[in-house]
Amino acid sequence: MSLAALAADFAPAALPPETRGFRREVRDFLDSALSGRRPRDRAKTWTGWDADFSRALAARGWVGLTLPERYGGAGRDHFHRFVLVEELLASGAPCAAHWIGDRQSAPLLLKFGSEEQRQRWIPAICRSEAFFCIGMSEPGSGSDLASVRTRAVRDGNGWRLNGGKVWTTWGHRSDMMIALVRTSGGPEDRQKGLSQLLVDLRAPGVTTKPIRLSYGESEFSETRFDDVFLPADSLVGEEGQGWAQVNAELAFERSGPERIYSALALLDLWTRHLAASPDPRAVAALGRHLASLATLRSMSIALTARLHEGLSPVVGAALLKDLGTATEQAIPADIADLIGPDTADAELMATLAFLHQLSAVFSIRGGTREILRGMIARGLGLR
Amino acid sequence: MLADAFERLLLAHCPPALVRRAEAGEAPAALAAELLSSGFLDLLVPEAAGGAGLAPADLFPLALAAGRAAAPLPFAETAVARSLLARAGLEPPAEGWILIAPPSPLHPLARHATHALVPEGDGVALVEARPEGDDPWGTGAATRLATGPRLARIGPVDLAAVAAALAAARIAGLAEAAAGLTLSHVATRQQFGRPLSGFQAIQQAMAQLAEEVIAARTAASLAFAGADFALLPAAVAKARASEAARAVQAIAHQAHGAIGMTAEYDLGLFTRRLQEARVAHGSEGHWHARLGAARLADRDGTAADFLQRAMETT
Repeated sequence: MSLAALAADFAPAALPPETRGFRREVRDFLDSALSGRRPRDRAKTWTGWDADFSRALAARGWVGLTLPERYGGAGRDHFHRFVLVEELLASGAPCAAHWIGDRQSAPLLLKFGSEEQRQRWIPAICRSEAFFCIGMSEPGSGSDLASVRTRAVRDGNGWRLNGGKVWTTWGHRSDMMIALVRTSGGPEDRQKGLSQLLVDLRAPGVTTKPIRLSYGESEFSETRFDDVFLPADSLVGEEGQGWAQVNAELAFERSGPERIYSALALLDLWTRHLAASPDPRAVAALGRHLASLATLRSMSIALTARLHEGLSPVVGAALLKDLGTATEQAIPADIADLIGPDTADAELMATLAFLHQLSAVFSIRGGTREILRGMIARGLGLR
Repeated sequence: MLADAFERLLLAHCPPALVRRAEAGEAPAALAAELLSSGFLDLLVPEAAGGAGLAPADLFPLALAAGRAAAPLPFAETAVARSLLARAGLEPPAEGWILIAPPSPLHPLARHATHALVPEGDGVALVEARPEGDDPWGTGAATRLATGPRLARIGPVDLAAVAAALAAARIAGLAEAAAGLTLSHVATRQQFGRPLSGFQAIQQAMAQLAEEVIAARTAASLAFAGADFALLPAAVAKARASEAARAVQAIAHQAHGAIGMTAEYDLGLFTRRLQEARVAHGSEGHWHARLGAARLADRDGTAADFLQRAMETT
């Protein structure tokens, strides 16, 4: 892939006009559903768990928006999903409960799952009756994901699972995990011998617990599998193809507005604060972040258009995520720089404190900065 | 395709040797003749006035290509000026190369220009123009323009927005050219027994280089998405492209090492222009302040709402 080919992933695109009415519909719902929500809570967006909110969204058909109607989805296109996600994030909606199932698990099952798996799980995801998480990292396997040691061995018609996962987002509240595990060979076989398995997190032998973070939140969890029996239809897709299947999800995971808007609630709160005392340095910093956000938003819409065309712009998505998370991190860091002795705004300080602490994770979760840059370099033919 | 044909024209008639000769003062007469006879300059001119009647988005890939070639003539500027004149029912000056010249510390591409659109009261005047003052980066820019009497007058046009939009596209093209040279260099230059591209530090820098090139290109394209060059998209374009100019010239030189500083190697053709274009027509700091002020004057809704309003094209 040359630089020109990478640039082609970002060929300019616009949201089609027919998404405008849908945007108003979503906005009206969010205005009433989230009225009175404090900025510090809005700042959690897709890391905030609220099952009732996810069910209310599902009742409107807005979970599984792009999935086929025969599986309970809404059959809308990726542009509509962009608009929905943009509105959810910009308004600070607590999306965590349905987020992973909606974004990754259901599309994965649609693409690689058996007909039985699709019928069993996709409608449940679309109704927010089943919440999914993805089991990837392990205590010894972070960025080096191909070194996973959790192992499933055949047991009759099913599987017997042993090992553990860590840093699973909301694993302790989820119903189901799609875990990347070894089904043959050893860690030295790397990407070969990995498979994706559906794990019922309430099955005997599964224990999950939240990981307490230094700033007190606990959206991540640690899971242990002790001789967990998995029924015959637990394998997703093909045995040994787990790595390729995981990679097929990455364009979805990394191309969306959630890699741009994580600090938007803070930026908006700060904008209101600045209106009263527009220090020129602060006004310029606001403009800098807006210029970055406008650019990133356009890049995300371009990648959405590629998804709409049926492409999987994995390298482009890595590039967007790396650039986007840099801006998401710069917003709290720069605002901290511009707080003066006369800044007296408790909500601003609380929101700043939350996002400044959380923001270190932006360039770690979903692929670290270094891994993403390595992917881009490989995409450019340098490795 | 239009852009491919234009690219071929530049490959044939605007090689680095011509750019160097133009820097030394030689008029790029053959390139000028090719461009004038090609019809590309009338891309935006309405069909009724004999042009192609296309939109700024169609000019964008050509403006990028002109930047990539470090073309020493104000191609995109002249194309826009001709359409502004034509829409006012006026003939463009024959064989004129027209700058878009709002107040600026530096007027890029002035060396071989003949005319300029300048602000005059609440409108815009077409005047003869030639470079004066200094050419600080040796790129054919001028710190001042000597202008003649008004030749024609057209209604209000935000020249600062037009100039910023076109400068952003030029930066995006120059950044691609600098990045292209850099990627080839790191793939071929051997140190410690392997190509530079074998080192992780270089790989990570090249990824950042690609990110900045694509951010510049995307930002610039926003300014070309509408029927006209609107102020806020142009502000985003020039702000983000100028940020990229800063990063790209630094990464490109660092990866090249000493060879990148030499006159015989082409990198300097592009990085000198990246520095020059960054400060012309408002650097990133200027446009950041304008954008921030625009947001404070229009505080409805979230930042995402503001961006939709500001970037919305008609």
